[in-house]
Amino acid sequence: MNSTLMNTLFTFFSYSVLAIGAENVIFARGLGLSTGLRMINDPRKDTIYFCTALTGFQLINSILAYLVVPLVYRSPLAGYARFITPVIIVACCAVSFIVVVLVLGFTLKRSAFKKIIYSLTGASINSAIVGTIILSLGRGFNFVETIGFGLGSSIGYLLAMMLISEGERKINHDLVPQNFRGLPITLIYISVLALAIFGLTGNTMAL
Amino acid sequence: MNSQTYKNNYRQHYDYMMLALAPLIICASFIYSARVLLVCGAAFVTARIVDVAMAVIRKQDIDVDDKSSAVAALTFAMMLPVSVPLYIVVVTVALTVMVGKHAFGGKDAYPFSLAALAMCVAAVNWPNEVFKAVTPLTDVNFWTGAAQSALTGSSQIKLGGLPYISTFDLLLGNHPAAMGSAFVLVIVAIGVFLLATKQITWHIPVSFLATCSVFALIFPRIYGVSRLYSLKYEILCSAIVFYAVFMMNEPATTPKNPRAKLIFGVLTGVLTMLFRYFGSYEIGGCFALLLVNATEGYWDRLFENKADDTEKEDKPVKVTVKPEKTHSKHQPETNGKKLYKKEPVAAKPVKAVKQPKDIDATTTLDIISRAEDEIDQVDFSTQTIDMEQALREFEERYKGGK
Amino acid sequence: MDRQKKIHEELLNWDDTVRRRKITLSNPVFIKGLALAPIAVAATTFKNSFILSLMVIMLLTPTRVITSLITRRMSVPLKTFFYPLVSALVFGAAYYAMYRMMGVTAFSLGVYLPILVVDPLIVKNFEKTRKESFLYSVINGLRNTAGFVLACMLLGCLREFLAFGTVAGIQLMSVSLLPMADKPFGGYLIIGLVSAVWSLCVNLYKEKLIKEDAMYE
Repeated sequence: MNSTLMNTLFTFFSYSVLAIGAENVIFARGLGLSTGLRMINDPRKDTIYFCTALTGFQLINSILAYLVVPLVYRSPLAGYARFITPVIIVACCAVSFIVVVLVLGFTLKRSAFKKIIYSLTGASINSAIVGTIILSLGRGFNFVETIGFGLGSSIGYLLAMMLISEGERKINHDLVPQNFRGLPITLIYISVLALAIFGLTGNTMAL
Repeated sequence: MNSQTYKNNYRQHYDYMMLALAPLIICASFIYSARVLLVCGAAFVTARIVDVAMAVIRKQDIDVDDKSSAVAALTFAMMLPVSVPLYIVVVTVALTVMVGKHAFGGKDAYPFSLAALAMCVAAVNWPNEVFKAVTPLTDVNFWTGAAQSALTGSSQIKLGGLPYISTFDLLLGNHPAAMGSAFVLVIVAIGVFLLATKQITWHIPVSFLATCSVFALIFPRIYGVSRLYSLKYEILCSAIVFYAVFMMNEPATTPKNPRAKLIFGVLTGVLTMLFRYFGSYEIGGCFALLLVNATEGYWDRLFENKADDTEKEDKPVKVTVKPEKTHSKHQPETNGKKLYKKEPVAAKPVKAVKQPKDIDATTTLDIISRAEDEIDQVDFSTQTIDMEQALREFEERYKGGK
Repeated sequence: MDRQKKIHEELLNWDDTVRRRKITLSNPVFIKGLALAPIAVAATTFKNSFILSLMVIMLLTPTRVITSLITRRMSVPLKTFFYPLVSALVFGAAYYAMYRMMGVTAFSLGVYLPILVVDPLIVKNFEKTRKESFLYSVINGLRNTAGFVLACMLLGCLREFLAFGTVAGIQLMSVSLLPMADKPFGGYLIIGLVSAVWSLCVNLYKEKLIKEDAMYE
């Protein structure tokens, strides 16, 4: 019994660490980058709130998709499952967002709710979540692996976003050539960080 | 200390680093033939030419005294094997100086260690050429670099073997390795010299080396021998001492606060060992340094807040802001109103204006719709991101809508 | 005289000019930074870029037109989720069509085609409340598509050339100039550099217009 638990924990953590480091959702796969850059440049969104919300949604949606998508493969539509899966995942995201917002709206104080709601929008439907879910479904992960991978991905996303927003402080100054300011220098900055993460794996596993 | 003297100190630092690299180059050319001078010369000349070309393109004065890219190019060359083809050196140095230095604003403003960046770029692009070590004191073709290659000590450890190199040879650098990163005794002497002349402080090298040593002691990779024996090979076979002295003390890319420096060293040490153990390249230190460089500002800020005022006075401004020539001098006006959108300005640091806005709304759905409504007002573009303006517009729009 | 008026108008409403010219002045990839994930990671060769472009051609405009027709009277929170759902449905059809056309090659980009469904390039518009007319949504959709296809094909060819010395499979050079160009970080670097050149061109164009305008006066 004890060893089963230990094995489960080990699987969970190894998949999380894999998703945080070598398969970092931003630096190795680029998932959710456009959304993330828009979030960082949106003064009304807080990085921590946004990424925490993303973590929550990632977990909920991973579980939902893990339960719902296999049903398609057992239905008469199994031959078309590959083409239907995105619809189901998006529907899962939509349902979870509405439920979470309603629950928060009724339980939180009005001021606290107002404070976080701007960060919640956009955290529910983005390629970081959808991409991670499709990946873990495609690899046939079991429940523990799915959760570990999902959690690791969103923590990796948080760390990547913190590094990028830390970088924004260093690359937004007047010494940067005019044509490089904004998107180009941010992408070059991200490319150096992605290069550093690449040192862990040494091969591309993106496609 | 004002920013001018600080910049002068930067210059002095790079002068001393050039001086410190000289003994290494001499030792290397003694052990690995005169081709070392060719490789170093190619790196040095490329760095200077790109610097000048960039100054011309950016319409700035050519700064002959700025040796930062030359120091980085030579440091990078010291990490290469003597057999490396010259085009790799030239392409890597040119790319690194152009993108890693000048795109980020040029001297003293780049966020990543240039030597580490160059080494990582070379390693991922041409791993076969960059990780080919040459046996010392053998013949090397001056022009082509053809030589007898051998397995380095650190790749032997990586493959699970036990390198048979005497301690004396390890200290002297008489074993197959990169050009200049294995002369441990010489490097330590240079480190002491740099410490004595106050060009570097002890914080980063000591904390970095201590962390690496502790890590290697706790998790030995060579089995069947004592932990101390394993530690000796872990530290002396790799370029860890070289990183500690030559790459981790660059003023532009390391923290200024002593406590921040300690954390910086520890963090780099841990990441270096993780990269060495689990990564696929031998130069884990370079990859780790790039990652930790990105967090440098955070550690400084963390301790700056806690520091007392006297410490604050010593803290120099890292980036001196200098207005750049704008593309257009035309700002035609009609009836006192500006006709055109103002010229692009640098986006302000995001955090400075990032404050949660408190907005009145009655129902939950109402709030969501407002949020969704205005979400697209701030667009991420190279044109202009004037956050305050965008915020003002957003507020006005909202009030108007209400 | 006509041209003078046109230039003056363009400069006066510079924001509108930029917004209208989605292929050049506000390119969705190089200026706005949309769809970075598929472009940086998947658009490594001419062939991959072609598959991506084909999908965006089939996905972007139809999604936009359908939603603009249906969601006119919808409240925003509903619209938020309606938009990705429509795009997912259109995607399913387009993906199937592609599968029939090119067989399993359609699946070669792995996760990077399905994530287009929620990419800001496709679903950004749900965030706006402005109602679009049918014609406007068609024109805007086509403009965005053209901007994306241009950027995607350009980067695909460039990266293939740098990484393998080939373009569309045709050998142009025997050596590879920069092997890292087909890796994700090489992709970020090249997009960053091209985007800097792009913004230089935009600035030069504006400068030229200003000079011309001053000359007429």
